[in-house]
Amino acid sequence: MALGQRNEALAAELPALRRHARALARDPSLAEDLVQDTMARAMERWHQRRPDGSLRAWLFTILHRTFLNHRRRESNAPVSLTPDGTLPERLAQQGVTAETRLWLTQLDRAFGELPQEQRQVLLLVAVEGFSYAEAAEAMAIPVGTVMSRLSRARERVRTILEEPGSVIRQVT
Amino acid sequence: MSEKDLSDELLTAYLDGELSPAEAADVARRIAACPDKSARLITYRRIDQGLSVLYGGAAEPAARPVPPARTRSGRWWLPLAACLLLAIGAAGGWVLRGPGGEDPSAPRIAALATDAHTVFVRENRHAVEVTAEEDEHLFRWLSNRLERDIFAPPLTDFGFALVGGRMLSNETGPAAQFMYENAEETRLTLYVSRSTEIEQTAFQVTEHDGVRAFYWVHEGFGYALVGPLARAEMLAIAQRVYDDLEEPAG
Repeated sequence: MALGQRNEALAAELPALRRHARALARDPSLAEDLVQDTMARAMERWHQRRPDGSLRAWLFTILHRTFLNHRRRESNAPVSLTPDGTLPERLAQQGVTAETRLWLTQLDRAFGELPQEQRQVLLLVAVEGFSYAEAAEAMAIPVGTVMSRLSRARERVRTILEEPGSVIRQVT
Repeated sequence: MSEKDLSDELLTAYLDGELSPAEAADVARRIAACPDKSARLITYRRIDQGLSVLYGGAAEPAARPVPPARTRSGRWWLPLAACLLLAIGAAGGWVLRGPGGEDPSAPRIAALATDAHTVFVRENRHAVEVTAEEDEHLFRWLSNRLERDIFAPPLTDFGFALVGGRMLSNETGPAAQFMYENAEETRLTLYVSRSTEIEQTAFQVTEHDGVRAFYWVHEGFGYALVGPLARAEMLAIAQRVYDDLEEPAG
């Protein structure tokens, strides 16, 4: 594949990578760093990718490995829990009802309270549709760990959402 | 096995379609027998769906055209999130509504059935919860949940075979969806749930983006046959479904 084609293919995946990185890192500048690093690595290793595999899955795998390296380097850095400030506006544009917006805002917060490894696995499997095997490869963990993390993550989100007063806490 | 054995991990693997058909059928049976697990599964689905709206493809500012359906990229709602509004009821259960919100003139049952059709016919791996191989279990399960004898009438005369079915929920409670497919991989769905709408046993038709819903309301239940076929063909099939469901052979 010519360089032009490669760059075009990568550029087409940029929006998906950006949104995924923002959801993962919950910090716009860290997210942008992740995307840049991922792109650089993807170009370096372009010849290593499986031509018949999904480009997006390959890129997400690189993104997650990059993210893990970032986290290891800065293991003491607090996880940013800043909710995405553009969220209510974006949802309003999509025509989501006020009630649902409120619920989604709570969900966004609940997601932000999860440990990083639980956020990762939820994003890959629940949002991107990775199989457990694909998620295991992306995160460099055993398949059984993917399953237990997912199970804990969903249950944790459910518990947070069902805490009494969570709606009230949100609107005040 | 008792329901205690149904671990959260198994529930999660079931939700993600990671189990073999036999395992999945077994888990589905145990979930159906346990209200607590059923509720949890519905909540997990809502969470997944919400996360996809928050962080999925719809969040891309310049989303590329939706890839062809039936690929294994993303959950079923991912390509849909951009064009469907989400209405997630605070009291549990969820429904999807078409663009522009609810059309007050469109009957609820037709809208629910059409949305559920649009969502699940795109799926390959997760098209149904219980496959036609387990049809007896499927019919018994959904009949129990809907508290009405319900089954998928055979449509082989029209070239359609049953793929399987799933349980959904709407504001009236549980709903059943059966999916059929013909040799050209055209899919039909039959949606059944309680309905508070006025009794209407003459077929009514709605059409949305080339998908027709033939529906009727009888004795507190709404039925809708949904598919992309020509009107006459849909009508003939709807008639068969109606006849079979109202007067089951034997």
